Amino acid sequence: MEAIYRFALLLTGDAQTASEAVLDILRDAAGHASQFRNDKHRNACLAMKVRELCLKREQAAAAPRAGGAPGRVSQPVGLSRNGAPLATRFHLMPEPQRSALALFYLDLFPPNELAQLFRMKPDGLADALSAGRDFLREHLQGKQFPA
Amino acid sequence: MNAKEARTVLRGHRAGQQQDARLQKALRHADQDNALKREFQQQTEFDNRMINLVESLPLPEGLLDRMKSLEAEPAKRRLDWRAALKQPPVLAGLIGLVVMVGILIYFWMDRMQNFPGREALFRMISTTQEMSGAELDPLITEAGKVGDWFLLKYGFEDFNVPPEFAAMKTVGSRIFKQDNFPVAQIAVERDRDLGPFPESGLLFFIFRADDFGVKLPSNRWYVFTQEDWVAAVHAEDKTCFMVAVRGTREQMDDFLKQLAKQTPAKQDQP
Repeated sequence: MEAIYRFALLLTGDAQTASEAVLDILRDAAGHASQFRNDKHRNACLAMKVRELCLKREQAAAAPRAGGAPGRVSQPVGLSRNGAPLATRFHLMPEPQRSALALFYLDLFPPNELAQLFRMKPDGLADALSAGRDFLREHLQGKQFPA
Repeated sequence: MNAKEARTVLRGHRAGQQQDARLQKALRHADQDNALKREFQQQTEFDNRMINLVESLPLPEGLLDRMKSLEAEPAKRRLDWRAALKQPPVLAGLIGLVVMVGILIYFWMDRMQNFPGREALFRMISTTQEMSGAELDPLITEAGKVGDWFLLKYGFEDFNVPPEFAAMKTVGSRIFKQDNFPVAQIAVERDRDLGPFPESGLLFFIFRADDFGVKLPSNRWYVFTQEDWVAAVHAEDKTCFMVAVRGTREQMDDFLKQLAKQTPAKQDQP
């Protein structure tokens, strides 16, 4: 269950936003426990719901500021408000690299399932993960900080 | 496996992940390619560092308890109608319900149009379709007075026009026999005030219900259509009154509603 919150935190970069998203999803999923095959399946389903909600809220928050222009805003919503330094930098990463790398590190899906989830070929996923790593390397360079 | 394929496989590898045949091939390839080996080692070190950082991200105080309590909570959330409607059993039930309602409406409409003796009424209208107009005797008066005329001339009692039609002007009438039973037919003057039928000639039919086996509950209009004709029939005691005109069921419904509204005011007049 912690992994779901951490995933939301990496997506949003903000502890409060992440907590709200996770609680909303859990509230929505209450009473549906029997639908999950096992803990792994449950976590995977919840993670995808969390992703959907976080990206939806991020788009809704970014749209008025960006005048509806596509693409990511340079200063994300809630940045550095409550987020851990790693999460705030992770949050700056573009999609789908951000979600793919977060799920990859949290080991919520094996790589082949991850590729299917993002409708990518294995080499496409490898490129996305590699791009995500490069992004993090660039943004974390020379920084020594706890999570 | 070439270097490019090996790099792709290794880039998608997570430290601690089970090694399948493809990964083992890629690792063997990396053993022979120093650049790839170094790249993979750096990636593994970086990934391990990131995994450690990600796994040690702290949870806000109390969040885990709230998450657990939500998960343990029984289903008491609001019903999501949109989601529920997408469920196949609900969808199937709804389709079944719609079909059932459709069938009920069909039977109800059929019942509204069907009544004993309806065939005889159809034949009356069919007879009218073959008329030239010369068959009618001139009769210029108010429809409300034709009852007296039928009584005096033919001795037919209760061949009256209902009050809502009484003010209309008649132009002709006749008595014809169908199955050896008398039917009074009255043609009404075309009038702009005739609501949906200003240009169509209304025809009234008056006959005894028993003669044609017509059975209708009192105080109710039955509307039915026959080809391009629409008719409304009404029973009063033992006599039936039918109004027929070229038009649609909707026009006739509107016409009857309009007459029903006007009648009380007219009845109040001295």
